[in-house]
Amino acid sequence: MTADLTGATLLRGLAATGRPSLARAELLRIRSRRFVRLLVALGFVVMLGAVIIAFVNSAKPSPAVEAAARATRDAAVAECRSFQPELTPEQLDQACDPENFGPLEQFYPKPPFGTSSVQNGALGVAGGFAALLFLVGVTSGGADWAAKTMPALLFWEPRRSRVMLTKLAVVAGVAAAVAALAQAVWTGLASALVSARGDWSARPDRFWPDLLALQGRGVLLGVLAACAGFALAMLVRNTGAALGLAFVYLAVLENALRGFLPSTRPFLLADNIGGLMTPGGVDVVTSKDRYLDSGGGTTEVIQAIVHLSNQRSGLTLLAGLAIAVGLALVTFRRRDLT
Amino acid sequence: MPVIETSGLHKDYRRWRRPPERALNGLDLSVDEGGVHGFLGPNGSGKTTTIRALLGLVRADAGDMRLFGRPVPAALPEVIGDIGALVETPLFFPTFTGRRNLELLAATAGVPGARVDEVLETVGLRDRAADRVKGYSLGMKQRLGIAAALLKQPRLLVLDEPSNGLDPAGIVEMRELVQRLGADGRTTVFLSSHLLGEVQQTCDHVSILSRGRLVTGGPVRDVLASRASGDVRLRVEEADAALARQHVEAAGFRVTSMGDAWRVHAVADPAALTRLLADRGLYLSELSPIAADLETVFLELTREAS
Repeated sequence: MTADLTGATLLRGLAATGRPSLARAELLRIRSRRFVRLLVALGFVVMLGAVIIAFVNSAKPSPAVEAAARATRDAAVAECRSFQPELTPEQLDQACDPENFGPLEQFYPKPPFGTSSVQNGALGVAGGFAALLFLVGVTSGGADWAAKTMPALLFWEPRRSRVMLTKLAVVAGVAAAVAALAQAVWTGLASALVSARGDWSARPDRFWPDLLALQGRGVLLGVLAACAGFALAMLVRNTGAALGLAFVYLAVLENALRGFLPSTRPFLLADNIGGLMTPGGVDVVTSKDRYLDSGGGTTEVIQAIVHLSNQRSGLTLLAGLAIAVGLALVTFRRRDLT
Repeated sequence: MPVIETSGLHKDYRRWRRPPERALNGLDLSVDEGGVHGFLGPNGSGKTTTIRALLGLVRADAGDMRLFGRPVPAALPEVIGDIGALVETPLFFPTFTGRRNLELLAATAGVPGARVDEVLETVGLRDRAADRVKGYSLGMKQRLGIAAALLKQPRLLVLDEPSNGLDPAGIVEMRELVQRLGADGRTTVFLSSHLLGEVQQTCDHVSILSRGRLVTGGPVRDVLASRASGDVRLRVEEADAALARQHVEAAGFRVTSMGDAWRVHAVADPAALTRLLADRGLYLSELSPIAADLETVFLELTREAS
């Protein structure tokens, strides 16, 4: 209710200025849409829920807990040694090395919230909000077609390119703001979690620069997702059809291409999203041969691998978006609105 | 200077695996500045297509269009600020209030916020402005559409079937509003409607369309006069009726019954009829010309054209 009142007051204030601005009107329209507010709120509620679960299921180890964990691990090592009497002492030392039993945290009743979880969480926030922002983009593009308000808007601004690109810019701006806010909120909550339930001392040297770079790429992913959703909805002029098309493309077409035409992988959305978001990028297999082995089975031999760096994947995704926006723009400019 | 001009306007709608549908077939149209100009035609005659083409919503295949003397769609951005439009059922975001829908449009065009209240007042929606549009009746949505069209204080107001869905009182209100706007000396109202009686009462000029072509146009009075039949309504005292009819028919006029009076067809000189009966001691209670109404003219013209 408060948001609604604030929006109405703002709107009246902006309208009272008497300066024409399609962008302002579009921004206010997005702000006024309850579905958009609901989606964004849902994202933050889920994030908060995850933080509460992490808080409940983690704990900062006290010296007593640490000693108990060490004792448990030592018992496991001793048990390992006692069950393999045939080994020489050297072999036993190697087989039952305490390091083989994993880090000491594994023996805590509740693990601490480590700095690696901050980065993993940032990745999750980026993915989750990208999905939500895709929906925001689709619904922003589809709303004018669903309510059939596009002709009314064109009575006010007949330059169709300007209308669509302004809408796209506003969607991109909103997506960037929401994704950046989500990452900022996550950073704040996760830092509090580390302070309360973990340990800062174990963080890598480049922790903050790496986290910031990851979050920046997360914001870019959110913007790309929202813009792609908007362009798709403008292309097919229907929110449901756009969502269906996206699902079929990602779940069916890309999987089929990945399986039958692996050479296309450097251009597939899902692979490039992985390449953009994974620190350091990803390697994708673009060619492999299959041989019958002597046992009647098959053996796959990798013939070629392509490295998708963060930068390369980002540029590929941008190029894909440019194609989608270009197609949407051309069809929107040429289309009869009957 | 005409505010609307089209010449040789053609438009075919292409259809999937069917032959194209011809909507406009060389339409020549001219609408002069000021007053209310009616735009009539049967369903599918191309009225809405013409309006949509003028407003840049559909692309004409051939022909020229001008608004305020400027070629459109090329110069549409320059003249759109002077044009308000309501095309068929006005569409708004259903979950927003009426006021918010108008405020969004006002923000788009930089119209001062105070103007929103003025137009809401003009169309009688001020009391319901805070309600969501999805709760509006069709008539209220129509009035909100008019309010949106008036926001820019347009010099040309294009109204496509503005009385759709209105109750009788709403139709009267709409007629008065249109007449008021047309008489303000600043606004030209271009009104497309199926309600021929409404158009006849409201419009100064009219253009009639059939199959994508203009079949006639001009001042309403001239259009009606051009199709006038010369028929008159004649009534005498009941006691003299039979005798009077005999004399009129004997003089070569065709007479048909018309309630308690007669319709005398094709009377070139009504005074001759008066003289004929007076000479025989029969005196008229009523003698009045029967004017062609727009409905008759419309049906005749569109039937001829098809």
